[in-house]
Amino acid sequence: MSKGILFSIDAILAIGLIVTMFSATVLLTNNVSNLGAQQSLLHGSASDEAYNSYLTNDGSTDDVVNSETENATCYQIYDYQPNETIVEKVKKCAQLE
Amino acid sequence: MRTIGVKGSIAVITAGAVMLLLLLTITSMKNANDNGTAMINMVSAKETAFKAENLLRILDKSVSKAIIDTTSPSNCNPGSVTEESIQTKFANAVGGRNDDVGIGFNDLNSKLMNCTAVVKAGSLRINGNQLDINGTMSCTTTIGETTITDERSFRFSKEIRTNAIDSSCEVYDTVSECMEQPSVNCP
Repeated sequence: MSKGILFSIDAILAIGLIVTMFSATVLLTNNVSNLGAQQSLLHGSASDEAYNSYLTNDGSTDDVVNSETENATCYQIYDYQPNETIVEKVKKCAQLE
Repeated sequence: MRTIGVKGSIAVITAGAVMLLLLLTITSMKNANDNGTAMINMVSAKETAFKAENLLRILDKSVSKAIIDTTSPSNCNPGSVTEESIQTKFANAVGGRNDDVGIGFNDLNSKLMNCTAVVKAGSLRINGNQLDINGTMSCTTTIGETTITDERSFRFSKEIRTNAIDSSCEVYDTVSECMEQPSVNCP
C-alpha cells in the first residue's frame, strides 16, 4: 500500500470515487426532478392552445409533432357529429427545443 | 494509552463528511421524487378535468341524436324518447373514443383513463316539444397508486322544431340555441 503525507493513495482514490458517485447522483436526481415539471409545462401549453383553438373555432390542427416523447406532447379535443361519430376536431402539440 | 493521532482524526472527519454527503443525497433524491410525483399528479388532474369537459359536450349533443332518431317529418315531437334510448347514446358516445393509446375516454390498453355516463332514473321530462334529462358522468385517471376522479352532474335541455320549408325535424339546444340535428348550425 502506497502512503502519502496525510492520506494513503488508496484513501484518496476512495474519496475521489465517492465524490464522482455523489456528483452522478445529484445530476441524475436533477434530471428526474425536472421530468414532472417538464411534462406539466408541455401539457399545459398544448391543452391551452387546443382549447383556444376549439373555443374560437379556428379549425386548425397541429401535426408538427408526430410522435409523443418525453420532450413533446399533443392534446386532442373531440367533437360529436350528427351522424353519431366522434371525430378529432382540434389537435395541438408542444415540444421542448 | 493509544491515541488516534493526526491521520486518525482526519479519517474520522472524512468519514463524517461522507456520511453527511450520503444523507444529503438521500434527502435530495426523496424530495426530487416527491416533487416529480406531485407535478405528474397535477398534470393527470388537469387531463382528467379536460377529458371530462370534452365528454360532457359530446354527451350533450348525443341527446339530440336520441331525439332525432325517434322522430319523423310528420311527427316532430320527442314523445317517443326514453331514458334507455338516451343511455344507449351515452354508451356509444363514451365508447366512441375507446382506444389503446390513451387519448380517448377509455384507455383500453393501460386503463389509465376510464369515463362513464349514466342517466338519472326518472329524470326525463317531456313538455310539448321540449325535453330535459339529468344524469351524472365521471372520468377517472389511475397512475400507480394515485386515482384522480372528476365527477359531474348535468342537465341537458333540447327543443324540437319543425322546419317551415320542408317540414323536417330539427333539434336545438335550448341553452346555446345551436341546431344540433340533422346538422350543426349555431346563431
